[in-house]
Amino acid sequence: MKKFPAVLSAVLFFLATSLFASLFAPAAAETVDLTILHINDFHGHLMPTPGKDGKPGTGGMAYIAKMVSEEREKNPEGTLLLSAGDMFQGTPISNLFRGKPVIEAMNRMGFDAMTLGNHEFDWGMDAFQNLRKAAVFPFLSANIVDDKGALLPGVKPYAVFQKKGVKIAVIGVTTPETQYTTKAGNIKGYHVLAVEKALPPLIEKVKKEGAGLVIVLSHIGLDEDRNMASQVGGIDLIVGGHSHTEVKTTVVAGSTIIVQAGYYGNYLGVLKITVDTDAKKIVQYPERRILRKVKAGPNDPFDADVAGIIKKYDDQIRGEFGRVVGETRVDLRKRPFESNIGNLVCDAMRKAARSEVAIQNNGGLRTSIPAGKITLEQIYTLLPFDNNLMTMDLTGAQIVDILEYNAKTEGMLQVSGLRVVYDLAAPEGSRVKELSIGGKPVNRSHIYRVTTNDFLAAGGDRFGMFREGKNAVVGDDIREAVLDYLKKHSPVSPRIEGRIVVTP
Amino acid sequence: MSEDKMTVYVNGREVSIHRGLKVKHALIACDQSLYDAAEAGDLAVRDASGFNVGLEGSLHDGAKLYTGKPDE
Repeated sequence: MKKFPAVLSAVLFFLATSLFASLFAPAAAETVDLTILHINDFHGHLMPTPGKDGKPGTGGMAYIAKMVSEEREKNPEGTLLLSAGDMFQGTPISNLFRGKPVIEAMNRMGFDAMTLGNHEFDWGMDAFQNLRKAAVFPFLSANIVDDKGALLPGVKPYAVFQKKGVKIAVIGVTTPETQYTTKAGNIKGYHVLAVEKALPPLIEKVKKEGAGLVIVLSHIGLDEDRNMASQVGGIDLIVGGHSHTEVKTTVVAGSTIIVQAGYYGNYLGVLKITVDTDAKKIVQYPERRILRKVKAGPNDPFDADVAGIIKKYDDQIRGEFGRVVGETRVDLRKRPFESNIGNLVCDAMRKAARSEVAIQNNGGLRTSIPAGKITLEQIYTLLPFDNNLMTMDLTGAQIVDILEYNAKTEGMLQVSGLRVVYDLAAPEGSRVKELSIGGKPVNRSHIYRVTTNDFLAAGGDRFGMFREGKNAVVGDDIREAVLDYLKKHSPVSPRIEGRIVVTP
Repeated sequence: MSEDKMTVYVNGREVSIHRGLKVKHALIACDQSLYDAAEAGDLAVRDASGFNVGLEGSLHDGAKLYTGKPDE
């Protein structure tokens, strides 16, 4: 009998034992690499934000689009592009066209899904639905419901994507603050459920349907995302927004990873994860380099198609700004204490909020307007700040305190709905000699509904008394209130009519 | 604290603002010069974890904000 050489025997023995081991040892884990691209709180910033001191700009949707394409090329079958909400409101190019240019760009870029932010409702339900219908990707929010528990028309609680054999469920949630951070009536008939109530049944459902990865696309803020991760089981990844946080190192809460990409498109979130398809969990993720700065310098590449969409709307802005939005029969001029332009703006604020009194600071009124047709550009120049109406309860005594401080500032405030007589020769704190509201003498203990802007409501220009107000609600952008007033009342002829009388 | 107000902390100083207001409002309520500097890009605003936050960022009761030199 011929014998095997010793070396050959050893090789055969090794092969046999290796084969045995591979047959009976547990199979190696099956993993896939996925790329989650995300932005949030874009607020209509289609154009780059100019850099400071001559440095190159950042952001801009055409630059983001190019980065998205480059990332997709690296992982064509395993990439998701998500938005965590508040995409539209915030810049003239987006506001003037009610978000249409943003949706067109998002469609072109191939967004997979977007969750609803509180600012998605700033232009009312009709404008929101127009955007939703124009989108070729799903709008998600699982926790905005009516009294019967039905979601907003056309809005889905979640969407499911199949990537490299992994079923990925993306569930949308919106901040409960939406109820008081958008004008009352904009989501009339709907309320926002707490996420810990809305999510568990949905997570159970998508897991039963075979989801291998559960992503919550959240617009509730980073700290609330942390709370959600600790209170709701089964979430693998939270892609967040609302707090405008640049999460530059991965946040981990329990077994949930949390990311967020700042604001205004200054960063693109790029999260590369490895998923164990059997265990259905993320087994690898980066701890840093998860945000990529969107550079918009002269040599940085951009997507020509998206740039074309933006240019199309930018070219129309000039014409839009030249649009006549009203008419005045008198020159509208600003001055300390009472002015006719201040009266006009405050009347518009009071009407929009249906309140008893409106108060606006002179610093927020930036130009005069001559008699004649009024263009949209003049309204933007008059009111360049993105201030919102804030309406709150103040007592008569608190209103007196505000007006006393106004005397110290030499007439910073403009008013509607009240008449005040000052004696500037009197000692500080006793200069308000007469005050009537709605034509009746002020009652110091009576509660009045007062509208101001968010700057004064926060105590700006040292008017801290507004911070004492109660039951404050956010309203329209002040420009919108003035535009609406001009539309209804033009031609206007506001005059100085003795709302603020200064003696001696 | 009533339900319609939030208490937030700016550089350790407690300020009370209306609910729904934002990072910029907390700075204004604390010290308007902080807001002016942040708006001009001369100051960065960070949360309790040290992450930069935008001036329009949301707040919640108990939120902590810190101002400091912007990142290079």
